[in-house]
Amino acid sequence: MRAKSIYLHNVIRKLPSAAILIAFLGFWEWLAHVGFISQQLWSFLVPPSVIVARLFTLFIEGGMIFHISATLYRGLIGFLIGVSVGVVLGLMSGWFRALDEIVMPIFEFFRPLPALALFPLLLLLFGFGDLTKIVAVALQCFFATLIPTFYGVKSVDKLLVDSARILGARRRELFFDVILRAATPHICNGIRISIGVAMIVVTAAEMLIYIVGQYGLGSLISWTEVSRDYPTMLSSIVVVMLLGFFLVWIWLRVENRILFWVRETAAERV
Amino acid sequence: MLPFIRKMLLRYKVATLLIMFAFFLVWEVLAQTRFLNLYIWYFFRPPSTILSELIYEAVSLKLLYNALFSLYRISLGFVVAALIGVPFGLVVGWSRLGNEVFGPLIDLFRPMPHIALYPLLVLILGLGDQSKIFLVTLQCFFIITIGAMYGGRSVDRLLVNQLKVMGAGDKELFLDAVIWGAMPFIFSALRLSIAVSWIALVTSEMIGATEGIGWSILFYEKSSSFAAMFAYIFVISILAGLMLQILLFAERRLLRWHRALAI
Repeated sequence: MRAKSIYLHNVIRKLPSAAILIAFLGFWEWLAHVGFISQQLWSFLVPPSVIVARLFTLFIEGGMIFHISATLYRGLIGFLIGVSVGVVLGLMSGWFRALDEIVMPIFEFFRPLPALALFPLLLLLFGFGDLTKIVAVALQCFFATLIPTFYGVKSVDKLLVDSARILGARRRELFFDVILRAATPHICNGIRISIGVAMIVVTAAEMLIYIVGQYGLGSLISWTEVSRDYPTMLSSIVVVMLLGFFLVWIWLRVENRILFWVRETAAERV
Repeated sequence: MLPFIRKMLLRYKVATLLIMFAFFLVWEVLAQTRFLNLYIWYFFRPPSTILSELIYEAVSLKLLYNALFSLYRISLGFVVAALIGVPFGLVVGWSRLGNEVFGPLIDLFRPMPHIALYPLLVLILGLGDQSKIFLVTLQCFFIITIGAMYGGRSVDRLLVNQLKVMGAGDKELFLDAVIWGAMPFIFSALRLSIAVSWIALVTSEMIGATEGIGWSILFYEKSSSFAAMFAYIFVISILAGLMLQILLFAERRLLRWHRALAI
């Protein structure tokens, strides 16, 4: 009963936003109806009804599933590689002083560099296939998790560490039971940022370089723009945006489970 | 001047500089000797060549030209996003009505990759500066807004009640408590959006531009002058790092009272 009322409350809370969204879409549709958007004028602002119809066609017979899975494959593999390397290296350089002083300066120098700036170089090294995109995503995710993890380890309460020591914790226990636990919110923070960033980078990389016929939502956007197939272009934009939203939404659920002991809910952290 | 130099040396430890130097030295040696005859040394030119190329670009004013265009686009986009996003997010987060009307909408749009909209923006605004500035603004706006929104929402209720008891009006409450309480959130959002805005800018310049750093990287890659390409990659790294440092400086100044993480 209680769960149901919370659910209902959540739905009611979202009604005004939904109303704004629907009003906007309705206005857009009305513009097309009045003739402000037509074959001759603003033809790329395809009205929502056409986009929805095209989405159905694309999902049923247009192979949209293959585009989505290609993008997800590149994004997820890159994300997993980048995040795992970033977390492990971040933890290690927070733990070992030598690593902190030798490796971190180099990473600090390359940290503000957007991975897409390296994209032409990656293209030369890894070719036009999936690997280039995966490496670009991995690089960006690596930095997005490395830095929060590192500072998370560094900012662990000294009192906590000392207390654990006094209570007789060995180095191993100190690392796994105190430092890793205390750094988890920061790691989760980095991972959540990485998901958003991974979607941005994978879309951008696919938009930059594509071979016609290669699957991928970014490529679909780019080559439907070039071939002036605006309904498909807008529907694939909608799919990319919703995909980005759902991936973060799923992660927020996971994060709430992992961080059940943190007072504010996961969504409340930027 | 001398104490300043000493302070800088202490802050950016000498060891750090030495390690950076060692890193580039190893690169230099490997590239000069074409280690194992790997093909990658064709792309990874030695740092000395990159440096001379950088100096050439700087002297011929090409560097300034491209950097100014990129900086103009990114700073305008970023500033506009911050100027709209911070007040909007604060108001939305603070007021109950705003929270209910706009909260879920911002939650919905925040994690989306707005870069996917770039082809559409090009069609609407053209390939010039406007579409790039607007893309940067769009990508940053939701990050900054949601930062300010959660900041405004998470202001200490006890503090607010105390201020009310002491007779603070709505205006004072907002100016003295809400803005300052939200500041750490806003700054962490600004830091994230600097990183994201550079991604957006570089991508948009690579897709279609006739000047700018992103365009230069792609141009020199296509014309196989990889030293110049690396020079521009380092320029981006330095400029983005500089923006981040300026922000961190402002953060340290404004948030002295807050034990902030320097992430």
